[in-house]
Amino acid sequence: MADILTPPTERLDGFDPSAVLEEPLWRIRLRLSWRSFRKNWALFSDNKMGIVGILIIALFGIMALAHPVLMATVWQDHLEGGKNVYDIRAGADSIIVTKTIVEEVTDPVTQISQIEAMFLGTGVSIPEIGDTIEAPLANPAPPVLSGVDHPHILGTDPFGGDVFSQLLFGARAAFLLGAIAALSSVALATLVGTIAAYFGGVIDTLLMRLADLVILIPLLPLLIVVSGFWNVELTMLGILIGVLGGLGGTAIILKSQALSVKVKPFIDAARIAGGGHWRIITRHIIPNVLPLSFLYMMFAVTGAIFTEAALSFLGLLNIQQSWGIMINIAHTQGYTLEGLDVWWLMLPAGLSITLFSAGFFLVGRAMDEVVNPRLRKR
Amino acid sequence: MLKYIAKRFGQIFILFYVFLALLFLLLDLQPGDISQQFVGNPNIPPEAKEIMVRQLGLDQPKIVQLGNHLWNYSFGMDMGVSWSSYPREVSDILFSALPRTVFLFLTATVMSFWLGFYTGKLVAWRRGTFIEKSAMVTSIFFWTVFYPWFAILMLWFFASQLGWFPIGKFISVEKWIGAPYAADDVFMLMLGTIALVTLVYGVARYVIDRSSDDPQTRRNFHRLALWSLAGIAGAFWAFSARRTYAGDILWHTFVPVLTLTLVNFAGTTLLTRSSMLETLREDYILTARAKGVPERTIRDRHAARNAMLPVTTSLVLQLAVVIAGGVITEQIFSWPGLGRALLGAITAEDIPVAMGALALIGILSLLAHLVADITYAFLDPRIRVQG
Amino acid sequence: MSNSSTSRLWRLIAILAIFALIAAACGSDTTDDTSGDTTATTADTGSTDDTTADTTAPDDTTPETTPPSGEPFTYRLGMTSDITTTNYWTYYGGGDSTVYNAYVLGPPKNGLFAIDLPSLAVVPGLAEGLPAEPVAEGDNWTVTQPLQQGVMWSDGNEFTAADVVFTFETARDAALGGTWLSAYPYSEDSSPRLLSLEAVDDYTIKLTFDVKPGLGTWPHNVGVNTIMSKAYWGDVVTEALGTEDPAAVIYGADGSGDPSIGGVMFDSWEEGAFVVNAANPDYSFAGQQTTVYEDGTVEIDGEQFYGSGGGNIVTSYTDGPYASQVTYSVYTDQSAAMLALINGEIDYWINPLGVSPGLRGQGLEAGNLSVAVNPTNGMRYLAFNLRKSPGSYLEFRQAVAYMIDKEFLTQNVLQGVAFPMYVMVPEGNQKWFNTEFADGVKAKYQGLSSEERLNAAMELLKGAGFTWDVEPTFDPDQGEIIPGSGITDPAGVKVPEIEILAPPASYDPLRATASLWIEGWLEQLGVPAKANPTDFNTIVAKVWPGVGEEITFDMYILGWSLGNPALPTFHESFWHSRYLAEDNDGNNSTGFVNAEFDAAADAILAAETESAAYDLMWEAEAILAEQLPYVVLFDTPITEFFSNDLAFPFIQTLSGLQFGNGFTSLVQK
Repeated sequence: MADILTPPTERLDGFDPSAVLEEPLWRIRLRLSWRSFRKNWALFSDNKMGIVGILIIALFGIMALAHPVLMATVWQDHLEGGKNVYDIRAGADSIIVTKTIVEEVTDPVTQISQIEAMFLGTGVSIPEIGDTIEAPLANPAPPVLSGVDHPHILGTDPFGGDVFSQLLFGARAAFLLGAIAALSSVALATLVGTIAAYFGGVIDTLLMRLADLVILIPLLPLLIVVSGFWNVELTMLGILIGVLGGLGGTAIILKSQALSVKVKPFIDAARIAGGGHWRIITRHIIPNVLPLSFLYMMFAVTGAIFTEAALSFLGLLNIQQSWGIMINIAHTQGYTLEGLDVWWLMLPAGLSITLFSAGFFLVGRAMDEVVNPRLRKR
Repeated sequence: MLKYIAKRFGQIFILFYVFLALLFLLLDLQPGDISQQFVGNPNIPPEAKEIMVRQLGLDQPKIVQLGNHLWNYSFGMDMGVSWSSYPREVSDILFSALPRTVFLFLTATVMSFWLGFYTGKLVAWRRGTFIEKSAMVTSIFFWTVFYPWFAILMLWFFASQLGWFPIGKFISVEKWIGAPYAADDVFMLMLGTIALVTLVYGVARYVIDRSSDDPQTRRNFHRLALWSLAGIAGAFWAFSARRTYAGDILWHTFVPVLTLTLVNFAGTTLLTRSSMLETLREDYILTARAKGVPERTIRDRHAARNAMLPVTTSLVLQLAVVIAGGVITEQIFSWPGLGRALLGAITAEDIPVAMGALALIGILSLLAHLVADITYAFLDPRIRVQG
Repeated sequence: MSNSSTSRLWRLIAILAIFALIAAACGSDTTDDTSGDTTATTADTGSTDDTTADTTAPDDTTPETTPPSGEPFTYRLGMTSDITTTNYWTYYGGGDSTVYNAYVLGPPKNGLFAIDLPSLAVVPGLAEGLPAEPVAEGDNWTVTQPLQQGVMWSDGNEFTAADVVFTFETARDAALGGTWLSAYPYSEDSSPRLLSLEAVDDYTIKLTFDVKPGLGTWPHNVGVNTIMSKAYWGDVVTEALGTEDPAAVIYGADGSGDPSIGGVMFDSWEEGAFVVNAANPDYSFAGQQTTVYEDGTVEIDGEQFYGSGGGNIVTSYTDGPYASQVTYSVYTDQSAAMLALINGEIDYWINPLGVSPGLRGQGLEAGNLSVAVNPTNGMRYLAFNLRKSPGSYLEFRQAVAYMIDKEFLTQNVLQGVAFPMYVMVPEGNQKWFNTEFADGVKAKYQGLSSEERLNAAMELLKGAGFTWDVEPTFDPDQGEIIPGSGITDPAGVKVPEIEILAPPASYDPLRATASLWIEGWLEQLGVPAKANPTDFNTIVAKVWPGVGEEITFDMYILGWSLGNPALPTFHESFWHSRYLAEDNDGNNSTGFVNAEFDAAADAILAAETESAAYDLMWEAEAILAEQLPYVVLFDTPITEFFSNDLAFPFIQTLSGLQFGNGFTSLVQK
């Protein structure tokens, strides 16, 4: 399986290559890697869905990069009360106007109903019809507001924050979380899997029982408890998801892969040539397990994003801003039922979660077909 | 095979204890305690907090608490006393929630497995067609959709826009006020009926398979057994005084189960597809084709049955997703199960209930693993023959 | 496993068919079954609830003694959380003091005195007339209070002095905690201490205190406390007192048969789904006529208290209950609860937080709902740690108060969902609010420009001896403050980074956002600050680390819901040096120690008349407004929706209809 990327017959480690070849070793490796990359890319690009996935991820990548750039350039000087209105948490562009309290609102820009004026008051006194009141023009403000020129491409959230800025920042948070979770998960799983496979015996049993234990623990309920009692932030969450994911199912799958590599002749050859345990594991087994690890990294991202969003939705996380928080705020402020009337509050964030997860998922599926030749069409 | 099952059982048993101990340590480390329950209430003097702490045994050494805890959990399922519903037993609170969660969880798992397997099989078979593509896109959409949002949309659509189903909840108030039966009893009876029908059907199939060799006869008898059992169960309920109450519960179940199923079937679909694609490359499929076996038979008997094996194994991994979705489902659909007990305990900082709920959810997933293992043992001839 | 896809399809159809049959069966049954069910209900409840108490009173749900205006109806409420107990002892004393328990368990109960809504006056409940005056008797002070005669519990027993004595003795002898403990100050370190509570005869009780009790003790603690039935609980308590942990036994007892003395009585509880209270057929106050006048006079059945009925009538109503049943169904998600309200599944959604802004639009559009907007009895505040620099410097606290632009914060940043507050007593508590004083404080801060704010703050800080590496200045060209840096406190210590603890956005976006702005204002002053959104539990653990622990937070933002509005006693609880968090985990988290304030706060509780208490309260407020252990920030009004079919006698009441537990015996349809 793993011999697709670096076929064992072409691997020359353990021998003394300089005796045979004139080229330096690193160049051979590079060339071989390039060759296998091209071959795999050809296989990968066969799969339309994989390409779609790559494009989606690229789009979010651009979004994530765009946020700091925009903050430093175009969005630099939009201050209100000393804070940038594009600030992802503190930013508030309230577009306050003076409205007259009337019985029947005919012009929402200059008029407000008595009840809505009461919502803005202290609740002690009932506002009189005919009085004027300082009120937000529209709350939350839609992207296009007739008669008003405001600089919010996707409108504002219930607290006057710029939705587009939050959305871009959300991509950053998602990549950060995904990267932390995926890397820690897969690094751990690869290590645990190969060590278990290579040494076998007691170590194997212990590690695999640990994996069983971790699979047994229902992840989301556990994280609900942890984040309910502790102050869980983005990095911490990423590591938690990563560790729990990496010690569980992924470790078992990667172990079986490592096991199939371990019995290959070139491992024996390396051992005969005097390679130590650590060298054999890091130089021979892990590189052959990596393609599969990489595949599971993609799935780990999907899982991490979903988990973060679900926990944020339940109001249990302490995260500055993320897609999950955007939905949580819209939901706790009661805009869920407004549906498409305030589409900019939930739809962009909700779609982003779905698309972002789908992007990594699709790439994962396509990679699966590369790594696993039996799934291929040809 | 018995040896295999016994071994797995033993392993899972030990794992459960390790899990319990870890759980206790984890929850004991958390920052809040019962005395802070009263922080929000300016009318309660500090002495009241001390009384509470003493009453709950929080002044004992930690190691004593841990020892007591493991002991209590193992013998008699004593999970202590709730803090927010003091002095109710945690087990009392949780065991009334358990059947509701099991019901939701089982129905959704079975439905989504069935739906997922069926779609996956079809998709693999029709590779490259429009059906495959649209089914894949749908599956991936459901697999990656932001679940809480989707659940609220379902609620809004079915309950508010169409008005066909109730807005969440477990039972209708109007119907159950002063009902002669407790909702839990009716519910347990319903669960019991399902369990009994499944069990009797299983036994009937076993007997039929033993007594006849002709596949056609067997199939007819299988069908007869199923229909008659369903008929008997249906008749029992139709003539039972509880029927309207049972109907009410079913009516409330529909949207949550549908939602949970839709979101979870995709995992099985995608897996079945991969598994089928692998199986279809096997030599025996080629042989079957060469022999002129009808395509449908190849698909359903030769390929699908073998493709099912890895799908069943991965069901274990799917379970986690169903459980996770279950927590959110219960919250949004006001379904009073374990997940909601857990969330409620977290909000109220009721550590014993939170710990108990997590442990029960753990046991649930543990039992599910065991069942999956046993099913696997039955399906995989290598294990079946060994034992 | 199945044999072919067709058979699988058949199976699916079979399942669906069965499902459809059942659905059809119950659908068609709905109409004709209801009547049958109801009769079955009554018969059944009568037979199962065969507690000794119930035998005397036939379980009849039709209210006979209530004024027969309109058809009996079911008052359907929605809640976002279930109750946790049916036992009132537990709700008051255990960890079960949730507002949902209060909604359901509160209406069947009464105290010697009740707090009238919306006037917030103390009116007779089970006692006869207004609270009796304490008289000196030897070294002690006694109160002899007559009780009403002929008031019946729903189990047919008459309410007597024995019930009052029983309630007190149970709380004392079983060492009940929570509200029971604060209601009866019997412990040795209480002052004034309740030495005894005895029955003189069946309709008179006598309380003995060691010193003269102020309003804060009598009637506001002892007098308004709930009275429990001796006939029902006597045996349970006697048995409990023989055990090692009597409180646990009492809390663990079943309270579903607890007799009612209010308009409704507990009926049934389907856990996780709904609770039902039924009208109390033997409600002794049914038909009682109450009129509240503008001058504060409360007229009950022709008897006038606190005045002679001057001014307009604020509200006038006759006690019901008009509803034959009150149902509380549980919807855990707020959107689901709002959908239920719009769809007419429930009449009123009872909820301590009110309806969130997004759902208000839905409610207004629905057309079948009425709305009530009311002020709340609470506040959200910024607290300093007075134990360490810079919070320990008065001028620093005052400077921060100058920098916080509350109008900008609430209107521009929080989009008008909150309103600014300047004193601790909320404006909505009109009985106790001092408009003149509050306006005076407001005038000090309101409408200042950034430049004026900065100058005022700088003057204070410089006066105290703070120095800067770079002083903050105002740039008139840009109209902005140029932040300073490197502030050093008068002791010569560089001020380290100040951490502002606030709940995260997912818990409360208002406070989370406010903390970020306060961080910004502090930084303008050159104070290095960091708003740290922190889990609620973690904030609590940091602010109240436990007895004897060092308290190290810098600043935090939290909120209080302020308890009894009829006599606000929170001043003592929050800032009296008796309740320092490090000493006894008390509510004085800031470490505020001020002898003058302590005296004023004690005097509020000891005051003998409301007007004396009022003056003292504003004396205490004046100290707080100067000393600023808290900078009170803002609060939100409460918005509630209810069905157009419902008629409440009044909807303008502090903290909304939910504060009156939904007015179950006054609401009409």
